Amino acid sequence: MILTVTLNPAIDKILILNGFEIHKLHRLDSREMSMTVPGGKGVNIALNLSALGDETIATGFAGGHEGHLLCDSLRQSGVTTSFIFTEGSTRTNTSILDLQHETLTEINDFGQEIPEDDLVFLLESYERLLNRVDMVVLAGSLPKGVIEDVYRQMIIMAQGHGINVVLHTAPKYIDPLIDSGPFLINPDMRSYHRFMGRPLDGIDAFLQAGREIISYQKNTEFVIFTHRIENVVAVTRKQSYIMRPRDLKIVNMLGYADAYLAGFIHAYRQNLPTADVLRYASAAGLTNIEVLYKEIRDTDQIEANLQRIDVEEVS
Amino acid sequence: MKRVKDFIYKDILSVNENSDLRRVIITMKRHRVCAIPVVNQLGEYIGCISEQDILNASVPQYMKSMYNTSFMADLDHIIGHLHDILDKKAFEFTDSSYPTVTPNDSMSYAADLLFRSKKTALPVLEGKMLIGLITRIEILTVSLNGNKLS
Repeated sequence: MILTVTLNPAIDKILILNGFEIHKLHRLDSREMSMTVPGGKGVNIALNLSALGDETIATGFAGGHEGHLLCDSLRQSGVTTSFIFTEGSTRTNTSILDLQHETLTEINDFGQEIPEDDLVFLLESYERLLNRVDMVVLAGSLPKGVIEDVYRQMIIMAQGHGINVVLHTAPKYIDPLIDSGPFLINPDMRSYHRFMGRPLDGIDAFLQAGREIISYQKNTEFVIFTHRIENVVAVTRKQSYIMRPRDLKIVNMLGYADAYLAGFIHAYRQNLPTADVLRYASAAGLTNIEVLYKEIRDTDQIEANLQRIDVEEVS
Repeated sequence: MKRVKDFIYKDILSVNENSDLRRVIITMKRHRVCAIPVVNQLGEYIGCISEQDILNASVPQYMKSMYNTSFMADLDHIIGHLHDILDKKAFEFTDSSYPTVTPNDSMSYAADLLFRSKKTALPVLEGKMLIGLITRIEILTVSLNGNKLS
């Protein structure tokens, strides 16, 4: 059983249309699409894991009508929910994908403010859930009112139960958490190219940063940079890997890293060799971005895409 | 035969036995449920608290003794008394004999249990762990897909 924690989830309002312009009234036609789906990194990972057949519990904060919509949709997808409801409402994130101009416009709401007693209630619930899971995913941003140290507390609590933690969030949250030694670190660097307090880009820089972390943190086994999709860099204790997908046909980048991590977790739990786990993760990410939906629906396609991932081993 | 495991409402939100009554009521209101499972520190299920359990506890003792007369409970007294017990722990109000089902029970059994006990939802337990609920609407919607219970 896997536990995903999404402290700042969202309802994703996704509009897929042709010829998006500001100052213009758009009426969707039958070739276009509007989707209202559960969102937030941890929630996306839970949806993907459920599609892959892995039993998953999703927790975090939810609230209002949107919070109930979020939980209902997750349960319909087979995910067990254990969200703490707050007074405020779950935020709505809006994405406009323009197929004609190949642009993606995103507006992310900041979400509700969390009072301290709700955070205490969530941490109590989290500690209990640790008794029934064998992997924890902490993903996404922190809502207002939540102290930055909460992820550290959650990592330490999970480690106390001998549970591996996958951490996927923005560098500003990860930087102070590196020394707590999460099992897997995946910085979300799509819009921010600094990590570990310095500008970071390119294969060599990623390899260097990953090796630095692994050499100091005995609990960290994987540092993975997924945002440069043509060269995904994974650093492990023994060696490093660069994954390159062939003949990319990007349709929708939304949810790429979430699908990648779900693929990783799914394959890792089957005790596959590391190179195969990473290949599967990349194939899951690739499968996700070549269709409109932000989560994987056709899991058979992952198997078919395995051969399109070139894995280079770097010592 | 229809089994509980195929109809579970997979929500496992619960309160800790040491949560206070204030938190129990807040959680029930925000979560829109009339009864909530109570678990211990290890996450093991120990019972449920329903709105009725809290109402019962809210009526001051001296009022209960007058139930058999034409006496009508005074709302001010009930609210005042409820206010006084808000800091008490959840386990004091927990109904440990609340009916439960297991994933392998038949839906007929669950329906019968819900009907007889007049509860709104039954916790589904795997060992001591809560894995979800069977609610009245799960029972009622079985028939919508052309199914029969047994």
